[in-house]
Amino acid sequence: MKEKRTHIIFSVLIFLLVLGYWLFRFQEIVTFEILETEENYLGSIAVYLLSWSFVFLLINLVAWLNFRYVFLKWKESFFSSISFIAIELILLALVFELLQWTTQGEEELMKDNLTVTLIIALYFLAFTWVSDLIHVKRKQAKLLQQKERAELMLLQSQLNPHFLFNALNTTYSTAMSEGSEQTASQILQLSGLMRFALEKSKLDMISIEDELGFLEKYIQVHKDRYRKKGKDVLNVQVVWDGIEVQISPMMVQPLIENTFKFADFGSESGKVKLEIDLKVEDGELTLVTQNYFSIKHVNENKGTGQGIQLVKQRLKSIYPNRHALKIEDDGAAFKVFLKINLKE
Amino acid sequence: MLINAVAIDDEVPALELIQMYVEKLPFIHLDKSFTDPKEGLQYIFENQPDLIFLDINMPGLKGTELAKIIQPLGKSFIFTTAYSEFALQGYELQALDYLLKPFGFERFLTASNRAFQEIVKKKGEENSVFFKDSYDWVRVNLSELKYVKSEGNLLFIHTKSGTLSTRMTISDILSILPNDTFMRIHKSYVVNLTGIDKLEKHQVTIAGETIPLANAYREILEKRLLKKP
Repeated sequence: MKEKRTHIIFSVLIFLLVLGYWLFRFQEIVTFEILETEENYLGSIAVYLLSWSFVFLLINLVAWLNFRYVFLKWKESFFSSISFIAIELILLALVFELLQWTTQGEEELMKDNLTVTLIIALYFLAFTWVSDLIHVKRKQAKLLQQKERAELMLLQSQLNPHFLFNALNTTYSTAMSEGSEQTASQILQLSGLMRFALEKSKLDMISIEDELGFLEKYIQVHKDRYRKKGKDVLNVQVVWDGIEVQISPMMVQPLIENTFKFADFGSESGKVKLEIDLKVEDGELTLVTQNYFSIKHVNENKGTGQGIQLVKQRLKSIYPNRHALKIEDDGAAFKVFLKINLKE
Repeated sequence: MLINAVAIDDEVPALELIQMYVEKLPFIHLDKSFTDPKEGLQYIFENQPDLIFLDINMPGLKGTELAKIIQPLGKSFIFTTAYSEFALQGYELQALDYLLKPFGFERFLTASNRAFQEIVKKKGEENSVFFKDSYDWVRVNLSELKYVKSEGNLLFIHTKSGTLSTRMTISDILSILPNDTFMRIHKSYVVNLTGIDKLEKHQVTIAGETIPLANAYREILEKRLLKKP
C-alpha cells in the first residue's frame, strides 16, 4: 500500500517535469505563432493546448478502439492475419486521407503528412504493445487467483474426512493408553461434531434425534470451554418427547453459536449469563435463548451478521409460513425466540 | 462362553485401542492382531476365530475384499473404518456392525454385544446380553428380561430376578436387542413383548408393573400384539 503511494507520487513528479520542460521549449514557437495582441495571449495558449489535447485524445481513442476491437480479436483468432493487416492498412490510409483533408490536399505538405501518418502508426504500435502487456498481466493475475483457489479446494478435499478421522483415532488411542479419559472423550465429541458437519449437513433432511445429538455435543464442547468460569453461569436444557420428525440439518446451530459468541462470561457476579431452552414436542421445535453481554465484548467479537441472515433465508425457503423468529436486544441481554412446525 | 477374536488394521494405534477395549469385556478374547491383512487372512483360515474386527482401507488387501474371501467360512465380522462411504457396502457383505473411527467404548460394546448374540445363536446356546452394572459384568438371558427404562445416561434393566443399571442409551440397547421380541413403547421404555400381560390405552402391565405407553407407539404395538392386519 505504502509502496504504491510513493510510486504514484514519483510518476506524477516525472510527468510534471517532462511537461514543464516541453512547455518551456515550446514557449517560443507558441508565442511566435499567436502573439498578435497582448490581451489574447493567455486565451490563445488555452485554445492551442485544448486543440492539441483534443487531437491527442482522439488519437488515443482510435488507438484504443484499434487495440480492443481489432488487435484483441485478431489475437483471439477471430480475424485471420491477412484481414488484420488489411484492416490496419485501411486505418492508416484513412488517417492519411484525414490529414490530407485538413491541409486541403496541398502537394507540398503531402510528404509531411506521410511522416505524421508514420509517426501515428508507430504510436498505435506502441499503444497496442503496452496495452497488450497490461492486458496479459491482468489476465495472469486472474488466472493465478483462480489457480490458488483451485489448489486450496484440492488441499481441502485431500485433507478431508479419512485422513482427519484416522489422525483423530490415533490421538484418541494415545489419550486412552495414557489414561487421559477426559481428553479422549473430548476428542470423541469433536470427531462426532466434525462427522456431522461433514456428512449429515449435506443432506436435505435428517432425523430430529441426530440433530439434537449433534446440538448436545456442540453445546458440551462450548460448556467445556467455559468450564473454569463456573457452571452456574450456564443454564442449558434440551428436551425431546421422543416422537420422530425430520428437520433440515444445522438449522438452529448458528443461533446457539451466537449466544456463546456474545455471552459475556468475563465479568464477575454470580447470575446466569446464558440460557438455552430447546424443546421438540409433538413435531414442534421451540428455541429460547438469552445471553447477557457487555457492549465492549460484542464490539470485539463482532461478526458480519451473515449467520443470522442465513438462518432467516433458510427458514423462509424451507419452512415458509411454518416458523416464527423474534430477536430482541434490550441493550443488556440478547434474546432469541424461534418456533418451527416441523410436521408437514 | 468366550468369543475368540482377531483384529486387522494397518495402523498400530487403532489395534491398540481395540486391544484396550476388548480387555474390558469378559466375553471376548483377542487372540491376535495384524497390521498386514494377508497375514491376518492366513491366520483366519488356519485358526477359525469367531469374530474379526476389520479395517477397510489397507494397502495390499482391502477389508471389503478380505471379507468377500472369508464369506464362505460364515465368520462374524465388524468393520472399523474412518470411511462412512463404505457403510452400505459393509452391510451388503453382511457385516455385523460398522464402527466409524474414532469410536468410544460404549459404541464398541454395543457392536460386541451384537456379535456375542449372533455367535451364541450360531452355536445354539441361549440368547443373552452382557451388561456392565457399575464394576461387574452381568449376563442377562433375554427370556428373563422384562423391560428397560432409561433415565438420563443410565438404563435400568428389569429382569425376573432383579434390576441392574448400566451406562447406555436407549438407541444402543434397541440395536442390541432382537426386534422380533423387544419394542420401544415410550421415549424411555423398551419392553419384552412376550412378557406383556395386559394392554390398556395408555399403559401396559408386565408381571404386575405398569409401564406407560406413548400415543406414537400404540398403533404399532396393538398391531404386533393383537396380530391385527
